[in-house]
Amino acid sequence: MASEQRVNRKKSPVLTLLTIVVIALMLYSLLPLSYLLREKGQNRDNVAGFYAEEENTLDVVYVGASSCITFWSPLQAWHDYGFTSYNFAHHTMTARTVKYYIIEALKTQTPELFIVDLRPFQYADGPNYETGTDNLHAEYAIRNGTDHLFYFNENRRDLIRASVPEGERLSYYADIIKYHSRWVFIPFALVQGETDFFDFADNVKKNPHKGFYTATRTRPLTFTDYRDVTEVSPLPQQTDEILTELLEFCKEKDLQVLFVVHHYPQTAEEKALYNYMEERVRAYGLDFLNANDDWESIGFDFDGDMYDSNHTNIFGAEKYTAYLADRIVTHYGLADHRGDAAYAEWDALYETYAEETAAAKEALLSGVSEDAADE
Amino acid sequence: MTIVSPSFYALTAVFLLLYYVLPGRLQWAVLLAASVSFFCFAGVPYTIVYLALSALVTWYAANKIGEAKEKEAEGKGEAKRWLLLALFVNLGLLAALKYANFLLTNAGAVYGAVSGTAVQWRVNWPAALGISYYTLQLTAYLADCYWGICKPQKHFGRLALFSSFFPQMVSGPISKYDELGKALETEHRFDAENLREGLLRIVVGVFKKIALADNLAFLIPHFLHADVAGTAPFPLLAMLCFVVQVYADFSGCMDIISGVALLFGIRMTKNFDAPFTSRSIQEFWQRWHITLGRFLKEYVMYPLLRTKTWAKMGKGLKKSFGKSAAKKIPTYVAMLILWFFMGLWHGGGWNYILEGVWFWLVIVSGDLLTPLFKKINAGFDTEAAWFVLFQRVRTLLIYAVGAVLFYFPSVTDGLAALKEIFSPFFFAAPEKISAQITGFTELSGTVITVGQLAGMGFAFVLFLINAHLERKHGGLAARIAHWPVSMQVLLSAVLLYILIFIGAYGPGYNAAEFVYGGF
Repeated sequence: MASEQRVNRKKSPVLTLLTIVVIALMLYSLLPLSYLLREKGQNRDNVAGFYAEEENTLDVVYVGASSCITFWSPLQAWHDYGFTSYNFAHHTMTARTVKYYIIEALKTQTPELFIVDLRPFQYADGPNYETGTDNLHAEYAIRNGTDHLFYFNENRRDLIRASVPEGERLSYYADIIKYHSRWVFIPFALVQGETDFFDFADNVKKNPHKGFYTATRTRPLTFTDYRDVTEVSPLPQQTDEILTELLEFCKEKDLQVLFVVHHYPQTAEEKALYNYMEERVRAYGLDFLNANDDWESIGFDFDGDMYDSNHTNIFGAEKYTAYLADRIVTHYGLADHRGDAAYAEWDALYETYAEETAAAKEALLSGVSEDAADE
Repeated sequence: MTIVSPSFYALTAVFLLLYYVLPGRLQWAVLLAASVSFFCFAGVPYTIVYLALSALVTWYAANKIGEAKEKEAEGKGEAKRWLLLALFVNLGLLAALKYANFLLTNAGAVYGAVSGTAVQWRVNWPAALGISYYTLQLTAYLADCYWGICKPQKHFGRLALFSSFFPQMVSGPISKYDELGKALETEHRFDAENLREGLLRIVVGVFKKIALADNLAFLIPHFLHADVAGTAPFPLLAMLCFVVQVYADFSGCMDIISGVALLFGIRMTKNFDAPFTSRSIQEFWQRWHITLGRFLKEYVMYPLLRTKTWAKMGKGLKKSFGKSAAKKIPTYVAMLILWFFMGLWHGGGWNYILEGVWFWLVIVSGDLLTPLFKKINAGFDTEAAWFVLFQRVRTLLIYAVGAVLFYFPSVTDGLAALKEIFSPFFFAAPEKISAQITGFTELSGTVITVGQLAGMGFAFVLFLINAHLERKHGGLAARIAHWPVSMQVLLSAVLLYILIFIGAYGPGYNAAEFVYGGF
């Protein structure tokens, strides 16, 4: 018993040094391990890929939910118009998250234009963490936004504070609390020599598609044209406040922003909501575009261009990108960087992308789709 | 606030600092303030009134007993009256707050059977934190004062501290005044050795709780899930996992408690002594929850055996059945009462009572069959390693049967589970076992990660090492006491580091409260 019998221990400077070194290594390893244990997939690829972009090289940053990822093809826009862009987007982005992603983007980029997908504002009356009744407001939706950003990040902290109730935030600040039991994948990856696994150790990894996902499935959808609907239906109060906060922020930072609505089979009620959003956006001197109003001129085909009711397939993506890129160049006069050696990487990436999309289109036309892969 | 939550350690750190910074004569007040704070954060704050009432009544009655005993013969009756009054208040509070619903449910069932009208009688009276522990502790103190084993404490504050010392409010141990009370009266100077050993004990305890017990608590319901339950090995696995869970949980809690107490220079009474190395269930209960067994023996069973009723019973039996029966039967009856209370102490439920009676039955059967066993064992070397192992496994299985009854609040469910566990799954069709293993894999694939299972396996190995060291050296913390401090720090840091990855905490886990924390 220690207090009764004094223990005579040897003191060893070597052991002390070893202890200090091992503890320091363990502490040092926590950050990369936290990054490695995070969820992997499109959301992660997009955020880590954004961090990998060279500073001040993006002309356009596209912010929003998953539909952005399938609608806007940065490499196609590069090839056809010569400006650079990136889908800084993730699945189920909440309305509240949009502003914080713009702030995150501004840390390393000075884009000429931000494009903001308005879909998150259609669903939400603000993050409803407690009930989680709407998938968009459940923990999953919030974590898709918070869990992939860098640690030690004031903006990430603010996003968590804005989205998660007090008392529930710890596992958002330190997401290793959520994901720690995935540790077993690390030795597996080591044993199997999966070096790719460790690419995320610093939460930075090049995204060769610049945030785009080639969707290869076709879902024919019934589309009703509501271009003539002029009614205005206000947003719920909380969502409206979030939109106001975003618009105020854009004004304060003097940002050029285009708010967009992607193609999808909208209802008359939803069209009225977007009419309201258009009014709000234009009142701040910002630009607005509802792609559903131009579906005919674009030649958008709801029988063959949609992946599901919210996302387009590769055919729809090509049409939408061509349509929007043309408008961007016309309205915002972005510089054409093609031929500039500093942007040579974009040409190389496009080559691969073109091969991949050609193969994807061929597969889709021949009836092979993601459904077949799922089966 | 639980004793594995960061807020508990923050609270401990604040009061630890005050404890050693303020003059020694105020240490008791610091500990009392810490205890009141912990009680309010961890329990239902207003229920501190029950604790305060018990402490006040005990303090007053004990002093009255002391005064009465000084009066010699004429004071004996008065002392007894004060003793009975205090016991009535304390045990009455325990009965009302902890067993009211048990009594009402049973009364309702009887009423329903007689009247033909189903009734559900219930009350919603939150019990005070640690009521099962402090009530027994105060009962022992009153009895010791009555028997003259210890002197009544004159200072109410100090007795209140003995009643409420915060580390032991969650899971005991049930200390005697001579042990804990005296230690709390003594002034303690800061001792780096105590700090070292205390912290190491805490690390080991937290590891046992979060890495093993809570992971198992998460796993067991999946073993019992309808999709995998049946005659295949899953109910058996669930039983064995629960045994390990209870031990890792309770002994881990004890490690934390004794570690925290040691930071304040107070050495708590030992509550475990390598129970799974026991060769009989009798020995097991001398090594498991030692202080509860000791209380029931010293303050329930032995006093019963000393009563006139028991003496009369012995005499009567001697006339009719002989000397041996006269000696054994009254002891068995007293033991039955002890085991009844042992079961009842765990909660108001027939499953707990049945669990207690099960152990009584095993011990009494073992005693009665001793001559037979001696004959059978005559051909063996009973000290051979294989025989010792056999005895240990047998003891573990006997305990496990009790644990199953403990696990299921319903006696019917518990007995059904036992039937499943001990049904001849070894003879089940291989394809059935295979189908159920597949069923579990599919189920667990969605809810349990490989990391959790691997982590549990790793924690279990460390747990076995610690259990092995427990018998020989008193556990890991004691075993490595002579190591250089830097090595001990390193080991603690490594354990905590591993805990980050394999521990059951965070969203997705439903960390269990301490199994013995509800008593």
